Amino acid sequence: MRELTDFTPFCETASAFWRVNVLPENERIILVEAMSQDLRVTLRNLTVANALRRIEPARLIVYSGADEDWNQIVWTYFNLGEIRQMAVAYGAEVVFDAHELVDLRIEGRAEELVVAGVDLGGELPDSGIPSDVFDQVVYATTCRMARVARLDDSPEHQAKKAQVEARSHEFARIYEALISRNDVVALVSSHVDYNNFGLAVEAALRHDVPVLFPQSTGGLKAYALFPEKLPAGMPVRAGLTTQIGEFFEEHVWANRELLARSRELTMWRAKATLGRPSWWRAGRSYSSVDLRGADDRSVVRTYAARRIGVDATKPVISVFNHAVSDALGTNVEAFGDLGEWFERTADFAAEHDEVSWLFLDHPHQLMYDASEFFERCAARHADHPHLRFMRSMDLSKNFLTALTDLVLTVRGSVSNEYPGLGIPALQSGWSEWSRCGFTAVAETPEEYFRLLTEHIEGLLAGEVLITPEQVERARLWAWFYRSGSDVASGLVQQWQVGEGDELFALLGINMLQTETDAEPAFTAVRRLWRRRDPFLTRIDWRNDAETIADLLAPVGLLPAAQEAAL
Amino acid sequence: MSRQNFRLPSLQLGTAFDGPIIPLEVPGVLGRGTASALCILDGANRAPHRLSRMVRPVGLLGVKLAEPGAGVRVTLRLLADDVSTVMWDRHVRRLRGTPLTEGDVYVPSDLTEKHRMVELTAQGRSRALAMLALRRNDDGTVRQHVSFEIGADEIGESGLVMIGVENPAHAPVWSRHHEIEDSPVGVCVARMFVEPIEKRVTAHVSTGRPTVDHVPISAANPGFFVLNPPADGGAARVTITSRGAGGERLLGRRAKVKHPLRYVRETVEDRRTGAAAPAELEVVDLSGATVLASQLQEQGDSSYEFTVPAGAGPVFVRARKLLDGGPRLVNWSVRVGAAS
Repeated sequence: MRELTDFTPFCETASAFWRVNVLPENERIILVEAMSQDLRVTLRNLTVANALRRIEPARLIVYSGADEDWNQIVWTYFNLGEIRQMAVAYGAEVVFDAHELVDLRIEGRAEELVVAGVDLGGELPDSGIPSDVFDQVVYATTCRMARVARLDDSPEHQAKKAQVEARSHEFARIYEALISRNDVVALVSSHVDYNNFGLAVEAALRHDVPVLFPQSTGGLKAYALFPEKLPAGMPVRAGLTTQIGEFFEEHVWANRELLARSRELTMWRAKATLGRPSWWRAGRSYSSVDLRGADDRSVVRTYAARRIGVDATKPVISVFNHAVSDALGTNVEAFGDLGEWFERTADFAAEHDEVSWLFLDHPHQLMYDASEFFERCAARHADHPHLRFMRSMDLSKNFLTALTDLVLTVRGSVSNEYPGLGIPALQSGWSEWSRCGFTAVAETPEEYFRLLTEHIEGLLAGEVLITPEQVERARLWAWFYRSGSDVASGLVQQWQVGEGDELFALLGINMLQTETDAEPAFTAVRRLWRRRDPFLTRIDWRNDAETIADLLAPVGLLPAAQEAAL
Repeated sequence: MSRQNFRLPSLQLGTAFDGPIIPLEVPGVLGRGTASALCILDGANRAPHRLSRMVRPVGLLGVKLAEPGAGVRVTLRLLADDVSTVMWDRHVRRLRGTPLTEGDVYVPSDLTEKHRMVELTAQGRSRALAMLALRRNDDGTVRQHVSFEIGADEIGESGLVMIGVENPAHAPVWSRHHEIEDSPVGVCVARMFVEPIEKRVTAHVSTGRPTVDHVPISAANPGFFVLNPPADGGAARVTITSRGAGGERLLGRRAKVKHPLRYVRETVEDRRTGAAAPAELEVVDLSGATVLASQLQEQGDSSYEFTVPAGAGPVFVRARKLLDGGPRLVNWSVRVGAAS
């Protein structure tokens, strides 16, 4: 358990800092979610909100809290007092416990609680949320809270669903009332999934309120959902996928020559587990890739294949299981749920012994599955020796890279990492990068199995399934994710600083000793807001090539090119 | 076998920032983790003043050699020390869901009654076994050397030699009694000596304990030793000689004065184990199969001889002296030679 001794002095500093660094309040509001136990998450939300308050005067309304499910399943040290203290220091007019309010409303014990002019403890009308969207949020939340891939008719699941449904109705009422009865500038939320986060996002978008959602990684990374840019009737992240693809094509791919050195440097660092593309896999000694060429790979492949009992002479297809109850249905998926994709892929694999199959469970599955989903699937296929079921962390990244000839996933980051090394990936759904052109993407089960069959045939025929251009795209996306769309700001610090005293000491120094002009967080949020961009960017990509080159401050040419030039 | 492996034509593992690898000239010694020739390291950390330390139960060291055309003789210096104990503690605490944090007051586990076993592979094939048994009177470090050969045809044009370090999967139950869980974790691969095959590797043992006057001593705890075969795979002639009852002993004149009863008791025990009596022998190979199980007769001077047959590969050997009607673990000195 962490102990914070610098937190209160920091809050005093932050309070003085923000008092003079945002516009005076008016009647408008910015809603800010603060439902994570990790103060780094709330720090990012509040910083983005205050950066916005430098452009759009508004009051900060912060909703927080955690219920018993979240405390049991996800959190270990949720501290509402700390969150409240930080939010107030960042200028919050009100910080209220939305989870507690929901419980009190269900029990009929809610008392008057006026937030932004709305009595949230009183009578509130039903939300106008479409029933199918509401049902989807309830279902996904119930799966997450029950830690199962899907619900069945068992009394336990149905009871949990009824409980989640009742709570979801109240969440929806509260969020709808706050948003519909106020002039809301934006909603800032770290997540867009599940009832406590997702119903606020849904209400905001339905009332034409933009949503900014900072990411829990890197420096300051945030996506933006502008209602006018989202396709109707699609999952909440689907519009983002499309916009990211367009932005990537227009600005990143178009500047690929300029970015060649950065792209290679990012890939080199990623192989050494620097930065956080593989945030699920910790441990440099086990998650870095030392392989450099086909010969290295072949020698390690022999060793790895012998250890785990697969045939190194056949192509190996690695199927990366997801955290099976994680954010179901928030983007386009080919199958009904993440579990169905995995099970049906295993069924397909059982019939295809012309290749070897590695089924790898998610490193953090314990937090997402209590039903032994993976083990049951493995048991069903125990009589198929060409299928191996293993925990992902039982294999090092060197072994995985040496063995894997095709990656299968729905939306996992492996579909960026492996294509960056020239190993093809097939996605059975959309992800942030699925429109960037370096993976094969299926949107229906039929398309998925057709593409999978084609890929197997291609592997056996020795065909090239991922082109050099696609490898370049994958590396460019890795660069863009880790650098181009990651704003290095002294007001949040890098994620790896942690959430202890060191963080608050650094933030305090930054607030006390650095003038704020052109602070990267402020300029990036201003640019995103004015341009309606889908994410924060480190530089302004609408500049001409020469200015972009200046802004990126490149070291020079690629090392090999430098050598050739000499 | 590697030539038959499936090869992915689209592979692009390198980056423009990969520095050149400076291969190890043969003969040569690798002794630092920063050595460029140590180009692949998996499940292990690079060590600043040694080659590497294991952080996982399975590790892999990839070393690029300058002359891949010829076979090599590889000798590894392995050691277990106090740092090994710290690393092992960290590993098991993580496994048990109670990782060590900065605020914890760390008290090292007492592993001085236990031992570690590692199986060494090269190019995916088992080559040797080693044991490490750190004791209280070891001044914090115990080390062992093991040698094996890698043929020219096994290395290939890339010059990449892949050394695997892992726990033997099918070790006999009796070798597990005092073994620590995930015992390779923390083991230090301190040095790697690579030489041309001029002098062939002969059969040699690893007892986990230091030698005495260059004679390996197999102590009553762990109670067994491992025998690595000669490079030609031939039979090995082993001579073991009883060297006392084992256990922690009080040494020197002061022990006699301060603990007279204990000193006398230990002396009597030692004399008893030196009595003429047969010994029970068990030899088990890496697959867990029993290679030898017999009763040995004393050859005189408390010595016993047996031959491990050709082709057995690295084996586990346990010899117990039949005293007072039952088998008893004692200290043995071990000598190995080629069978005539």
